[in-house]
Amino acid sequence: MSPMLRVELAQSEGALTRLIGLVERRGYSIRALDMTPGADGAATAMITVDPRNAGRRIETLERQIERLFDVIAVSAMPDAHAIAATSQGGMGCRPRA
Amino acid sequence: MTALPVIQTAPTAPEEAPSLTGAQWVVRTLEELGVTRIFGYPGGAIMPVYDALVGSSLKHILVRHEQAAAFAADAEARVTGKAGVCLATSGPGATNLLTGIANAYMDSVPMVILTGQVPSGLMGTDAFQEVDVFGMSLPVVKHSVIVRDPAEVSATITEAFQIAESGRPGPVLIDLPKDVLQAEVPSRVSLRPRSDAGPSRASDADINAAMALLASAKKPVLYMGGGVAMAGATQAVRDFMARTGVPTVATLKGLGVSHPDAQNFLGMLGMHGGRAANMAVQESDLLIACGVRFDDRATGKLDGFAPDARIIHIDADSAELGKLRSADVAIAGGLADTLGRMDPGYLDIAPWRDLCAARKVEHAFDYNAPGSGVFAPGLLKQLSEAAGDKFIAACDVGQHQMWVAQHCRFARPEAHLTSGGLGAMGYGLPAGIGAAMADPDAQVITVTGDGSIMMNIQELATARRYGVPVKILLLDNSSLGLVRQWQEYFFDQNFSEIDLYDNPDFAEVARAFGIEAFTVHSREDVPDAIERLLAARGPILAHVLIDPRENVWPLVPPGKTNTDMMED
Repeated sequence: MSPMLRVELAQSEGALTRLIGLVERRGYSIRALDMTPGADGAATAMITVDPRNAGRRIETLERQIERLFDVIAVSAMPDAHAIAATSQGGMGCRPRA
Repeated sequence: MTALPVIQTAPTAPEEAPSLTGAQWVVRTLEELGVTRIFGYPGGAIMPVYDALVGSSLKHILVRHEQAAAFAADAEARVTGKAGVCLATSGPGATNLLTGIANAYMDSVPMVILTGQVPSGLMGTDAFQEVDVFGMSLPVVKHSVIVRDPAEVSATITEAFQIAESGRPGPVLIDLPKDVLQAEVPSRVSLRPRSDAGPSRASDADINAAMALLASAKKPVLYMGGGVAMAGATQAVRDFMARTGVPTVATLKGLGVSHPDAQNFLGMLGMHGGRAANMAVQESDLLIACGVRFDDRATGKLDGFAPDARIIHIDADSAELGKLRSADVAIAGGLADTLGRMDPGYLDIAPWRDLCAARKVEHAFDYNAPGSGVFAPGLLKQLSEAAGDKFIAACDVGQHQMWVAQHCRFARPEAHLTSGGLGAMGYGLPAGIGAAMADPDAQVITVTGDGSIMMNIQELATARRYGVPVKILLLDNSSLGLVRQWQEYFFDQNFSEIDLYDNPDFAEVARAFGIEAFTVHSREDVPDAIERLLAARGPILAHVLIDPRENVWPLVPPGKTNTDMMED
């Protein structure tokens, strides 16, 4: 069971680095990442994560991500399956088979 | 915290203004924002700002290590509630700030950090004194920006202050490439600040749920921390304590919220907390957690912390609610407003209140120490009492830090400056300088140890240069005392690298820096020493020799619950 996060963020310098760094250092490894540019300089990132430690709550990570100033909106799907990288217009990143 | 006005975020048309360089916009914007003092150290990349500083109304305080600039700005912010400002060049200047930035982040202190950077065209080429300070500081800033357009310098700095000071405060870093600082722009973009409606108001349903829990509790405890002062809720907590009589404990950062003599105030909880406080929490059936984050120093073994207690958790930062301990009622909202609306009337807790009060008396600290040497806990108690309401302690890290927390009296939380979350040795002297400059009428005492003071001892020069009235109380036990204590009790007395047998004569060192200094050897000298310290009009250092075998008690060992307190 790998939770998934849907994050809408402003594509300002460092925004994605800041987001991914936060996810990792809050105790989650990133299984998959897909980013799709949207309108008005925003983008949507779909991130599938695995908690490294038992007891980490995805709701807490969601609120920590929400604090970031580049983040426009975030929602967590605790029971989502891992997503496949999109083939068009996306920056897909999957673990090697 | 003052709510920011809700206004649009679209950029306006460029504002008519004289043609200024990016660096001149830095200085002008700081002046417009009411900044009076910045702590910094010059260098190549930041030189345009230093050029623009000449003739400015800003008072620049030249420190002798950039880390001290960050610590001093941090302390100024803790005392005033407004963002402190520090400034350094690129490369090593910026990396030297990082510990101070992390310190501000861990304790949620508002700070604006300006770093020089190599010219934009050289960024990413391993240029001289180039480091990616933006990338390095990502985990320890509330926000950060690299300014690419000189026309946005002013708006970026303005926004940085708003971000630093709003909500849960924190440090904001602005990286300024040299070409941006040198470029002249005929106008500046006035980006409207982000909207911030201030803390949300707790719903009536949450208030009613909280009051229902409180009304039915037989053993409630108020557990308060650093978030109280940040929320401007110190008086609200005092009123709640007086109104309800609920026994109250404080974290390290929560000390000073309650008047120390309030009958229902049990003192600090946690690893070096008092027995009465820890017992109350462990036996409680309801914890009212205000502005706290269930930090491990306060909770001990988390799954054994307050095992029978329901939790009401109130904090401005919703990300803290449920992070470590689930709450029965979680309120992300204004603490003062929430507590003000919690008026449960009569609480049937007299037996509990009496028990807690009796334990407070029973387990009060015994200041009757044998021998004639200086007894640090007693000295600190006397010193804080003598300084009275003007007392501000700027602590370094170690045994002395814990003794300050246990034995000093604080009239308000802003009087206790301590590196809580990061525990950074070297904080004390620059913090004392920052605090004394921010509040010249206070009695600012830097309490430090022989280990800690060496980390920023060069700042004696800063204290001397500016005649800062900081009183340095150096408790010298010729060791890294807290590490020694842990090795004594948890590493089979296998002492490793804790012996500071070769310390210099610190009084001589201070005098070499041009600072008045004296040494205290025995307990009978303490009253005169206190009088001399408090009467000094400029910087002064009291070098106090204490017994290396003295330990901090009580102590909750690592991995234990707060009932497993070791005592002397």
